Amino acid sequence: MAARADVGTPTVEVPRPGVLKRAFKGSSAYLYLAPTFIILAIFVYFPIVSSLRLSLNRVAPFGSQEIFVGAENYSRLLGSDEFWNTVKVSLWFMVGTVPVGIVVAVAIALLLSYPVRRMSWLHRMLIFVPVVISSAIAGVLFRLLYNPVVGFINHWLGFIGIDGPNWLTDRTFALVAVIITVTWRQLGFNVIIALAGLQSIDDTLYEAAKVDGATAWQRIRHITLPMLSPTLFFLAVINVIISLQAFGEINILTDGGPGQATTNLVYSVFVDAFVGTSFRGLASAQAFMLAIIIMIFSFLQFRGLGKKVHYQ
Amino acid sequence: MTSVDEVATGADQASPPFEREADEVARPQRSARFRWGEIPVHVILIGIGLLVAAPIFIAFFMSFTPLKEIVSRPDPKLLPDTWVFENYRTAWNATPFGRYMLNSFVQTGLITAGQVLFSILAAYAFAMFDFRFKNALFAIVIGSLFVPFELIFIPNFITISDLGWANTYAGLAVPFLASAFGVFMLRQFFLTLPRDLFDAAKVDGASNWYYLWKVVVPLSKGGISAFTIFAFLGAWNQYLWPLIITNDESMRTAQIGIRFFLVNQERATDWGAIMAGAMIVMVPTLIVFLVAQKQLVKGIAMSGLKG
Amino acid sequence: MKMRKILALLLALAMVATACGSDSETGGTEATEATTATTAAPSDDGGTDSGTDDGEAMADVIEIDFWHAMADDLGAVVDTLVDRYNSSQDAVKVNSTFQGSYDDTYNALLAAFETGTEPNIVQNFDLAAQTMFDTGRLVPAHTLMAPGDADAYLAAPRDYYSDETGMVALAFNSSTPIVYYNADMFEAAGLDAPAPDWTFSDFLSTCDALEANGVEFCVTFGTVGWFFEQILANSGGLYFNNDNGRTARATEAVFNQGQGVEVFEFLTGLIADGHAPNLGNTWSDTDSVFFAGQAAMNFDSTSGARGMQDGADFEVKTAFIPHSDSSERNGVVIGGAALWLIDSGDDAENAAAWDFMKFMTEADQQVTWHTGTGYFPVLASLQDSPPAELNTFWQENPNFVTAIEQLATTKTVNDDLTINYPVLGGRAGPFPEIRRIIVEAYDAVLNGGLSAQEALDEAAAKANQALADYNAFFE
Repeated sequence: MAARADVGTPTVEVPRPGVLKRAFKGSSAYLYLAPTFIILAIFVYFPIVSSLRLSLNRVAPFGSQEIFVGAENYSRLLGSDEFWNTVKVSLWFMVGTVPVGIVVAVAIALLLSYPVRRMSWLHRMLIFVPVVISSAIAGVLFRLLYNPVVGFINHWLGFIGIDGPNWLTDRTFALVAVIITVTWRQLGFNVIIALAGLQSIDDTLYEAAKVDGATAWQRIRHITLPMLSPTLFFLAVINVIISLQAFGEINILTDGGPGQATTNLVYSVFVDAFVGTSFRGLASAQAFMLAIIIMIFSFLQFRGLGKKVHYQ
Repeated sequence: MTSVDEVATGADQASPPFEREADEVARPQRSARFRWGEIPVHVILIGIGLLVAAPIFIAFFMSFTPLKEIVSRPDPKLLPDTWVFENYRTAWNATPFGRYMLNSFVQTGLITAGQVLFSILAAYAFAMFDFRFKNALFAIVIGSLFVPFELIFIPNFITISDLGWANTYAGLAVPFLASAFGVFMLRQFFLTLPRDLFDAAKVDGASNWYYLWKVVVPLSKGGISAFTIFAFLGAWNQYLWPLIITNDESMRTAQIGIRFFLVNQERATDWGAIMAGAMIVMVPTLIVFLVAQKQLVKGIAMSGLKG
Repeated sequence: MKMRKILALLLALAMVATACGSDSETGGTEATEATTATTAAPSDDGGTDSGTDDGEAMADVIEIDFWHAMADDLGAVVDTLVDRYNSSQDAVKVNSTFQGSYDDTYNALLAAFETGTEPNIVQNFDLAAQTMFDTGRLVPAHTLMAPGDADAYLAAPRDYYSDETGMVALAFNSSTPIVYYNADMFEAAGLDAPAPDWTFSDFLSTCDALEANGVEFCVTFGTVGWFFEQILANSGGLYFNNDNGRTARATEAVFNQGQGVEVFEFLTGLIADGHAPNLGNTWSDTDSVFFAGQAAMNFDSTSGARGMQDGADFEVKTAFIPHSDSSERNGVVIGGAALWLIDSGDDAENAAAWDFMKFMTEADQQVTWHTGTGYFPVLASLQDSPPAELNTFWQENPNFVTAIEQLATTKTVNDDLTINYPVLGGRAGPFPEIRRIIVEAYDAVLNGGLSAQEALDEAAAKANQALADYNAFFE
């Protein structure tokens, strides 16, 4: 990628869509596009409009009746402690999963990129495996581990003299518990991406640095990390989105509790829309807020693309 | 939102090398000979690996532990004293996991097929055709990547309900048949194909349909299979949507089944049986992981390299 | 070439997908037809009704969908009864589906009204009564009952599920909360069986005796709303205004006034003072702790009598729930759930579903149900003049009698002959949400540092908002 151009490796000439003069012309392109666009129109773009409409109404518990209330749902949210709590939970959740997840993944990837002769398939298999675990299964596995009666985590903590907390019934630890679970499930994916990024860095850079007498840490600090910045950026974007959308683990581990300690925005939307008598209008207003938050983050990160990331 | 050209430029430069690099992630290179200095690296990596995989191993062992040992022993032990198959029988009898798995396979099959096929078609159009509004249309596709599912699942629930598709495979699959990510990724692939092939085909008078299936697709099978596995996992692991759109036991998916099995505990939770159920649900993806690890890792690695 | 095979497969699958799509556009009407005439061909869009499993269903068999919330061993007894009904006649076939907890079932039902996939019969819990009335989708039981039929039921479950006209739902599984205790531990600590009208102070001194004798936890219970509701009723406190929402729609929660605070202080205090572990909002982890001998007592429903007795390797005995020091014992509110008949729009189908519902509350089934679970029989005749087998059963299993006596001795009428509304239980549309709010109030005390009063005030404010939101549609 960019790194190659840096050190003068010739890049392959690739046709670009705008200049490919001999491309097929004509309307048959629209036929190829039709299936994708029909699905996207009905199930992605039209629902945005519906959500907006719902968010401006109060919807009766049994779905049939709607009362137009304008911005009432929004103003009620902004004035409610519960809403700000869910925002806070979402942000803590992001802070808890994203940096740790990325740092751990890069550290493991650095270790994995050490060229060993045997068994590297085993290392990789063990470390990559969470990538195929679903959120539901992750929730079930960790529910066992955290269980106060039969769980292993507190038992093992006891070996080193720590009296383990009430993982799922203490406010702080419940959030930590869910964060650990989500970070774990995300780990395999993150390591794979980080490793791919590491291996795309040209070896000649390291060799040159070695000749100059740079220590291992200096090489990591001055070559690896800058060269890895596009990968780190990608990981940040993906992990922020994933952390803001965490649902399955919460549903299975804590059901948003204790209190509302693990109710993030997504969970709150779900609860308002599908638990008990439903408040679809309020739920839609929250969904909109969530969407705006995600879009702001994505946008800021893409703005960062050009500036901070060592990209060409 | 990023314009088409920016996206295209950024990725175009990355295109040629990324497949090879992704390959290296999937299948590590080997250095020539064994060195004693490697041993600490092995120890650390195996340690990390065991820690990471521990929840799965624990679930595996627990699924063979008799309930009495799990509940009555004062301290949990990793390995059962007596290995029993009972938990699998309990799980299988208490909950129709067979049916759940079938439903998951059908849902996943439909979604994967739809995403792969429709993405190939759309990516081909974006890569090989000139037409009006091309950039705008591409931006619309990419823009959908930024629409969080939470914003649209309530209206989609209403739409699917109005269509009478609740509790049907159509309801489970149709909203997900298109993939903006697939379109983007496959388009990048198609753009890297050598141009002389295209010229030759043009001279032979090949139709664009023929060119797609006879030339473009066969040459892109690496990328297509990587995306296929990607789509498979995404679909198999779905949770929120099947949770709200199915209520008929015969239409629940495996992921929802395990949740209901967890709830279906009236007395002291039967953890052995629950872990047996979890193992049953995990097996297909673990098999995919073991069999197609290379393609899977490659697919993921490429998604990162393209960013 | 291998790739071509894969593509051919993909294409084939895609065609199936589109075929499913077009099939299912008619599937909506097909599904409704299928419920009236089960001869509809099995559709490959996913079997909207489980009747497709049988393929060649008899043309005149009416299929009935029955949703229940009975997990595990209780679910097994439900299935036994359903099988008994199905094999007892040829005209109706009942398909039962486990829908998760009561809350899950309730959520699934409300969503199903939208998707048009509602069952014929749903087992819905006590709290859902007002919402069920409000759906307007029911066939009230009284429209199908002969005059006097309702008198066959015990007064408490009958009245609980009645509106001003008569019985709306058929009480099927009725319960009250009881205290299960480890008799071996009580004996070791030199304690007698708890008195029926024991107070919080009595309870706490029992705790002290047990813990002095080496018991790790005196008691275990989940931070669910039910025990608060029940112990509040036992202490004579109201939950909602307008006489618990019984004389007019509830508009305000009053559980933060009077007895409520004392009760909530007691419950949260048990956990805060280490008499009980904090296991959170659970019904099953508490049993694990109890079975493992970590706790001497366990608050649970009488519905667990069978499972507790069979699951423990020590002697399990049962007692009434306690009440506050400043009150007399009032008694308990009926718990559990009832069977609700949802209007399918087809009289024959409604009649078939009704036939099954009646079957489930007949004496034979109620005896099987009672002895297999611990839910008490809802028929007055089974308590007034029980058959010999039941008498023998009770003599051998006194744990199954506790709940019956606890309800029978409940004070439904005050000394001045007015109705004792606390023991009738609250009735409000958003009661399920309000129960969720109480679960949060536990956390506000145990983790959030609020006092019981502050937490209940906060909970009441949220509950009032939920009531206002709900009632806005029914003015």
